[in-house]
Amino acid sequence: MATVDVRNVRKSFGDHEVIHGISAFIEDREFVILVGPSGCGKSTLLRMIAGLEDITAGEIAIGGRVVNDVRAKERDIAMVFQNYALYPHMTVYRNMAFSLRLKGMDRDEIDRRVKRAAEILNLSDLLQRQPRQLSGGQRQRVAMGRAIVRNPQVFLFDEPLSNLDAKLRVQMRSEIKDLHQRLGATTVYVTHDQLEAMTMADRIVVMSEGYVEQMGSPLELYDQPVNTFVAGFLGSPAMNFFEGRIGREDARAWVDTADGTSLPLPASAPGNEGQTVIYGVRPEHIGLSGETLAMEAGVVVMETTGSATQLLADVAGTRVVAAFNGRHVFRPGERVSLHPELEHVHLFDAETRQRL
Amino acid sequence: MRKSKQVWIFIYAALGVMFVYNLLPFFWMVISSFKTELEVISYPATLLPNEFTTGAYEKIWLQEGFLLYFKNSLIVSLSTAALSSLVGIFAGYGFSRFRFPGRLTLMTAFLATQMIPGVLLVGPYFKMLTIAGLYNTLFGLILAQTSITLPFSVWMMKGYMDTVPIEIDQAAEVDGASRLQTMFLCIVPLVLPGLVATTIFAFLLSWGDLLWALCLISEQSKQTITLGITQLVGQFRVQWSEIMAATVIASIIPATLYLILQRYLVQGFAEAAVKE
Repeated sequence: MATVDVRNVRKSFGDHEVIHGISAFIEDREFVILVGPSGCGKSTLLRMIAGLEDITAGEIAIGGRVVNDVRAKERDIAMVFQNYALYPHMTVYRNMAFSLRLKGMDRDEIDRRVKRAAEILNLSDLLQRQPRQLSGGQRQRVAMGRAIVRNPQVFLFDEPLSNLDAKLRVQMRSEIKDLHQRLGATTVYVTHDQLEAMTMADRIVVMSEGYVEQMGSPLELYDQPVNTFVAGFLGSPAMNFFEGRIGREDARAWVDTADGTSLPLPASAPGNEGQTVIYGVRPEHIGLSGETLAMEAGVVVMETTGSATQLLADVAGTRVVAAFNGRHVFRPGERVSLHPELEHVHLFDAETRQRL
Repeated sequence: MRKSKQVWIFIYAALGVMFVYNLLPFFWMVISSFKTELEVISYPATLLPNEFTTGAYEKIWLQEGFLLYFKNSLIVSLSTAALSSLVGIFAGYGFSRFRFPGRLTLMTAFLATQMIPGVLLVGPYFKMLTIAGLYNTLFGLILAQTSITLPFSVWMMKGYMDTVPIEIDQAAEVDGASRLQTMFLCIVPLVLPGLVATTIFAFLLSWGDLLWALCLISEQSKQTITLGITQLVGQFRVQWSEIMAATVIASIIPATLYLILQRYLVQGFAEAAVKE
């Protein structure tokens, strides 16, 4: 296994630069997820690591060796594609054995490796099937098997679960995570699904418009987002934002919004009195009772999942989402008091949108 | 909606007319080939031979050198089909997978050659092959016919290869395959129906050609079967039963090919129609 070092990498298509000098260091055996909305450059970056896309500027090193001019097949990486990219005319066995046969490995060794990978992935009974005879989840496992048999330095995954249905996605998520723990392989994984990123990654790299917004552990990013983009992108339902001015008096602090709502702040909150800020609070950090200032809200829609209740409410014209554990009943139009938890309030500068 | 009985009768009657219209010439060809030379020109014509004879077959096969023409035709058609398919695979893959300056112009130029009637090209080809010392050689004829079938092969192969996701190439590259390995181990097997359809098309075009063989071959020992048939039309007499026997023989190969490979042919053309 190996480290992956991305140093000030840029990528242009013609005159249009899509990756603007990204740097990231991925430790040996680490599971790193590149996450961001469509078009943020995460797949392009992964493809540059794989060697499927040229690097316009900067360097990428795998295991300490700069691979800018090294072809994909010589980088010792394995990649799992979004659409699996299995060879449709080959059986599962031949799909998995393909790279080993190209290497000229002897038959017994190929057989041993394929069968071992099939055992790990629960594919032993399907080895003689054609890809078209497999379900989506099984195809995905074959794609992973094809990667495992080669015992590469780095595993690359390009949105591997996005073609699967919701239930299978949850199952495959744990299977990939389990596989990583068992093989201990350095893994770079691309997804646009923040839930996948939060649940699977050792570290997340949040990207937007060709820049890295923040890099860190899932909880670090969740608790301390550096800007409103990261704060809004991670977490589901997304964080609520209000724009307002900081007010302070004695040991009290708050944010006054333009529509006259006062939002509670801890006295230790950063920012000067009168400063325009973005006030952020996650839906799960809003309570129905508390001693702090409350937002008076009108219920718009209530959704229940059985174990939790989600509320869409209107606070003086601003839509707010709140999520509560357990079951609650709200009627549309009903007035409720929503209490943000002080210790979980986030403040961002209104102009730079960076964390205060 | 269920069709009424009258509609069905109309449909079958129309199909029957088309069936007879299409197959009558073949029927007449086969029947006439078993008639005597006298009966075949007798009036009124007989539907079935009064005297069944295989004399015409024996004569053309044993006396007229048709075995040689048949062999020449096979060599030329198989080589033309193989060459245009092979080049078609490479060029089709190139056009499908690479973006390079002039790509579109080149593809359009390929297509434009299909709009020029063959008869206009025969003159220049005659000149070029003579200069290259390839006039009156099977190889020269193969080259000329390949240039006619190639644009179609290239466009067909490009169309089929466009339907194969680029990720297959990339997966093969990551797996350690070279370009050639990717092409022949991963892509070509996936476009096999298209390749078969393209190859058959080139073969049939070459097999049925008269114009190029007539203009580029002068020696009798190098003539193809279509040229051989025209020789049976003499200045003073036309040997109808022999012509018919020769055409039956000439049809055997394309008909057999079609019967064996029709599954691929239909599948191939259907895919070309619905994908891309």
